[in-house]
Amino acid sequence: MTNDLEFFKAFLDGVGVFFTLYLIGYSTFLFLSVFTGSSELYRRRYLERLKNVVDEEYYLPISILVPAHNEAVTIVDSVASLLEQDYPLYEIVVVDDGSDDGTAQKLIEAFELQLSARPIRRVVPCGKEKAVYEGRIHGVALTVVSKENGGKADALNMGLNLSRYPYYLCIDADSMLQRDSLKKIALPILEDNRVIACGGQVRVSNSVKLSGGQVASYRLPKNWLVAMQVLEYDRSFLASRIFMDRFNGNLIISGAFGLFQKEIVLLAGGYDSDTMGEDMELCVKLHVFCRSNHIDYSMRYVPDAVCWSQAPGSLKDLVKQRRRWHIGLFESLWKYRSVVGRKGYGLMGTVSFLYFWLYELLSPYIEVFGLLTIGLAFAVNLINRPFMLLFFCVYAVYGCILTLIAFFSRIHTQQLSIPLGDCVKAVLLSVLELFGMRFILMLTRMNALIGYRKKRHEWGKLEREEHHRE
Amino acid sequence: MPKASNLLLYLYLIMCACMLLFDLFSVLRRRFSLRAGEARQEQWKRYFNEICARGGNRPDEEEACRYALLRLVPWFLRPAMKGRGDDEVLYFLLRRLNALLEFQGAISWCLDQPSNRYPLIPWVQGKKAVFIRLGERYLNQDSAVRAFYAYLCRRCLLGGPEPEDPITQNMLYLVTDSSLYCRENSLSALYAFGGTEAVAQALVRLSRAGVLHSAKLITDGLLSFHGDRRQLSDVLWEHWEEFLPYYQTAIVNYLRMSDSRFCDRLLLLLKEEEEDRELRLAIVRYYRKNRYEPARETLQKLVRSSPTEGWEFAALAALSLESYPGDDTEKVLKQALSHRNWYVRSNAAEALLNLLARPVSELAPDLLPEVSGTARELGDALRERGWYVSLGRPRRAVAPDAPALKDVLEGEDRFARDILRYRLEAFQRE
Repeated sequence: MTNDLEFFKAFLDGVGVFFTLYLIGYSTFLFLSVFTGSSELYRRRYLERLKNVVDEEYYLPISILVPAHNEAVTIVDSVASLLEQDYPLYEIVVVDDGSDDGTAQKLIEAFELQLSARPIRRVVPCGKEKAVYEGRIHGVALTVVSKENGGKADALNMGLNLSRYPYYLCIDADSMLQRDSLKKIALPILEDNRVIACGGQVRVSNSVKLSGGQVASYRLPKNWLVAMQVLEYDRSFLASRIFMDRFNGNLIISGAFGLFQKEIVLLAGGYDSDTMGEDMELCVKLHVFCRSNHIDYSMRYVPDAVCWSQAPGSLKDLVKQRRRWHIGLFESLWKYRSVVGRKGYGLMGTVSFLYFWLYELLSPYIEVFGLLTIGLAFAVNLINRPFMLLFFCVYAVYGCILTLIAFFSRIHTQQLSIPLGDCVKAVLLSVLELFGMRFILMLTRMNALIGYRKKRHEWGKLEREEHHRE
Repeated sequence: MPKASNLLLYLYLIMCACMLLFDLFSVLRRRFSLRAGEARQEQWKRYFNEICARGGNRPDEEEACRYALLRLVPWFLRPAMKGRGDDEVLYFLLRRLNALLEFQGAISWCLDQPSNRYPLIPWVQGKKAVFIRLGERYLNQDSAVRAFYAYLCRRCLLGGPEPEDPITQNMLYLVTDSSLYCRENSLSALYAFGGTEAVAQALVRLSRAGVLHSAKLITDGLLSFHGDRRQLSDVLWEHWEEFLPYYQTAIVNYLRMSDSRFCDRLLLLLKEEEEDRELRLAIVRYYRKNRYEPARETLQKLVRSSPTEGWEFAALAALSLESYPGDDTEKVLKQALSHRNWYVRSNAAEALLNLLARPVSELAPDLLPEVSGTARELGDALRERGWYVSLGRPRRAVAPDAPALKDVLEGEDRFARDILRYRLEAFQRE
């Protein structure tokens, strides 16, 4: 019995050391990230004030690819927002991936598109097209291709085959761009011709009102679940992306808003239609492709380029979405697992990969293991309760402060204003997000990999609501 | 271990609280400084208005101007400043970056009023000595400030066209800066000053330093040049060998838009297979915009012999051939419709249709003598007779029985047929 207790004590000590190191690692990463993120946003404001901006009528011809599946509710508004871009040369290609709610038909009627005999240049494999429709709206070429259902990656490959221009932007069908988004996301390519991809800032659109492509009013959404996602998006974009951008180590360019050099994507083989997280898979693939072929390249994150995207409004949809994301994360990390720590992959292969392995992919298991151990230690009275409580409190306050810094930095640097009530709400939500949503999502992510091989080519169907557009 | 981690977490917590406080402090400070800055900008505007009211003529001697300038000096320093000249006072004020920002905001606002341009520009140019002195101060600061200095020099047209001008010299010094904005603002200033030799020297410096500034920005910048563009083209050509191929390409793109006198010289470069690939592609584009008969054969050859040159040459040359009508061109384009590359086929189809298309107003008198009316009505009448009519302006039409079309549409090559059909459809929607 004494031996057992000794063993158990040693086990708990081991767990204690592991968690201490784990949390120190996480806290340090978060701290560095938020600090880097905040200072970067302030630096950008400073540069803007000092006229360190390129204000030319510059243009890289860009094809905007919009993969869509059953998006009849939002698709017309989304395309209308794309047509309002303050950009001289671009085309829009909507790929309707076997919708059964009349998505393509809505577009054909709204923009009076005509059936076209356009031959498709099949550079990357994709499903068979049913019909191609074309039109020109205010000088912008709009193409809608209706194809057999094959999943988002397959739809994007079709878009790649159809696009005419050397750069393409992929955007979700429920997303809207600000008037200057295209201009801003293309800027790094103009600054540095080694840039092969740029990711923009994805923000929650549920409570924003856009007028003429500009933010007319901004508030925290009334739906608390969506509002918590606002905080979460701001934290994750501000935190990890700007930090990893410093060493060209971003492993994700969101599928909701990313600009790519078409040639390099085609050389790398396009999107992998066998994965759920096609955006992360492409991003990691491009890293690996460029590094293994000794191509001097850079992938950039552009916090000023904003895309407004709908967040799930119900817990069921949120769980569904996060499950997909977690599976995508697993698939990409597993597929490119050999990169970790390998010479020639630099900080991307170590810091970025380790962060995603330890603090994104494995974190739900580690956290649940930690909670179970605490419960066990509590049961056998082997825990220092005051210390435990203090530790939780410190950690909670720390987490909340970081979330709030990210949120308010974003509000401040984008020169948005929110009412005082929303500021108070943000503080409350940062606590609720920490103890409520994060816990639920932890369980979701933990179960995500169970039976993940099923429904791989299906779109994650979420309930959509109409955009607030004028 | 737990104690150490606890301490570390406390440390992080304190640092985060500091960051949060810094955020709040920045918001408040920004609000305050914005208000104060706006008030000072208004004072600068009053000063500029006084100058404009006097037509820019010797405002230094006017009491009202002097009074407006001294109002910008903090009250406790006014007695000390009273005895100093305007240039001294101006330098004293503008040596602070915030004051320079307020000055820039106010003068930009005033310059945007068309009536103020005339008196204000000569006045500010008369203060060049102050800005040269300020340059000594600001050029030693960080690159963002240097870029701002260059921006201000451009906005106020402070430099002269000669490379020896001190402000122009400052801009030439900045063109090889590591900051893109610094390079771009100084280049923009040089374009605005209108000196051909200075612009050429800037590009030579960039080439020598191996700095690759965006080619697109260089082309656009050259197109915005305020001086004599033909002279600029000549000076750039004189320095041709000193430029990197990267900049030569940007210059050819500029020449394409602005000068057709280089056809003969560029053809020699196009024929030289050792030349830079991007440069040669830019030259192919040049001949689309600027028709030059001796280039016809080379372009046709590029369409035919693309396997060795790469499909990009064939695709661009096919498009350029639309400016070189003739049976020989039609033949080459028809062959290109069977090319294995999609872009070559697509461009060849587009060029072929553009070659075959004739304005409706030219066709109608012969084909439809009985129909009169607008181009739209004539187009409709032609469409009823089976012609392919575009909706663009001017309205153009292609005969359904044009041999070049017929051969392909009734031919056996499915790829050629498909692409031509699609292009015909697109032509009719134009």
